Amino acid sequence: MKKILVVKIITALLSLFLTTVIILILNGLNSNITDTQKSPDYRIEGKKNAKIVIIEYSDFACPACANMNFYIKNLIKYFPEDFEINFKHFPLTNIHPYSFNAAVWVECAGVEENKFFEVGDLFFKNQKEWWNSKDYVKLFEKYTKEAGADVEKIKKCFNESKTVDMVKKDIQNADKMRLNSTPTFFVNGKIAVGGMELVEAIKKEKEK
Amino acid sequence: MSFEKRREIVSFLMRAMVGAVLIYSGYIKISEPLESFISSILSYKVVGESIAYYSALILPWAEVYIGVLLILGLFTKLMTKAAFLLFCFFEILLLQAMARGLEVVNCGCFGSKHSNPIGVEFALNLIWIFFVFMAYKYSYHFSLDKFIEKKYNSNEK
Repeated sequence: MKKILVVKIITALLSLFLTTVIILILNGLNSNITDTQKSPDYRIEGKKNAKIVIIEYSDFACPACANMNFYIKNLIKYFPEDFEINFKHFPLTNIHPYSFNAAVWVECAGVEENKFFEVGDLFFKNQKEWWNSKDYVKLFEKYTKEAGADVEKIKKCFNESKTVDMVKKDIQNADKMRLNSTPTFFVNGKIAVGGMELVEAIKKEKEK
Repeated sequence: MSFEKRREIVSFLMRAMVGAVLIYSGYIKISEPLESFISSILSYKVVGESIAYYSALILPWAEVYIGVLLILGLFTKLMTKAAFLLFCFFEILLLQAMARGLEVVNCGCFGSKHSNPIGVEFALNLIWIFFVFMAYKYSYHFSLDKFIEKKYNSNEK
């Protein structure tokens, strides 16, 4: 009886060890992915060609992205010479029904009015209000007005789907790299998934 | 084929399915940033940040490990009990969120990219609980437990 238990425990431990190794290898495979392609100018914050170039794949309806947006604003505020932040769209539409439309709208604010971040920041700030609201267009108009952008111009751009392809291009890139969550960053080309990894990656780059 | 035999096969398939679901949901969470699962846990407004942090760290691995042992059929009785408790715990969380009308943006069940509305998850968990019950009762014949016990019992004889 005791022997059976020992055999079972050894088999269980071996299989769990193997599982852990497989999972760690699978996760490690993602770390070879890289993205250094810059965003259009209106989607870049901070100093151009700074020492640390960050590419951020984000979703306006994702709570973790809203938190990281606050963190990134502070990075630029306190270290304006050290960072270049490139925003890229990765709306997770299967859980955030209006996030694709939000991306298209904010992209219009960038293309038409050069107010990508002014409008985008308000989308992040008021995320809980619009993310699941059927009246999202009215709310988008409200934030756009608040940001001091021309609502009619952006609405026209949105209705004509002018920026849909630009948002889709970012999504396709993210899908090609098999990104599966937001926010995902590339710090000088190296992937960092989520805020904690971002902080670590920045520390490493600063020490170089 | 007798009814008992068919029931054993079906129960084994149910056990394997629950195991696969647990491995999948655990793996997705492990491969995603920790903070997305932390924010999902916090959105249920049951625990504070430090408990959410440790839960986000431990729970996905627990799911994967229970899933693996369920599929293999090792410590089947113990693992089906663990899975049962896990699903009941999820049900309580979901139920209280529904009752309180909480705005759970992402249920956290299958990571941030694959999430169902909490009502759907609640119903799904009921199915998994039934599967776990069936596995507990009838899936012993297709398990490593049986294989090991048979092998070492016959050796002793």
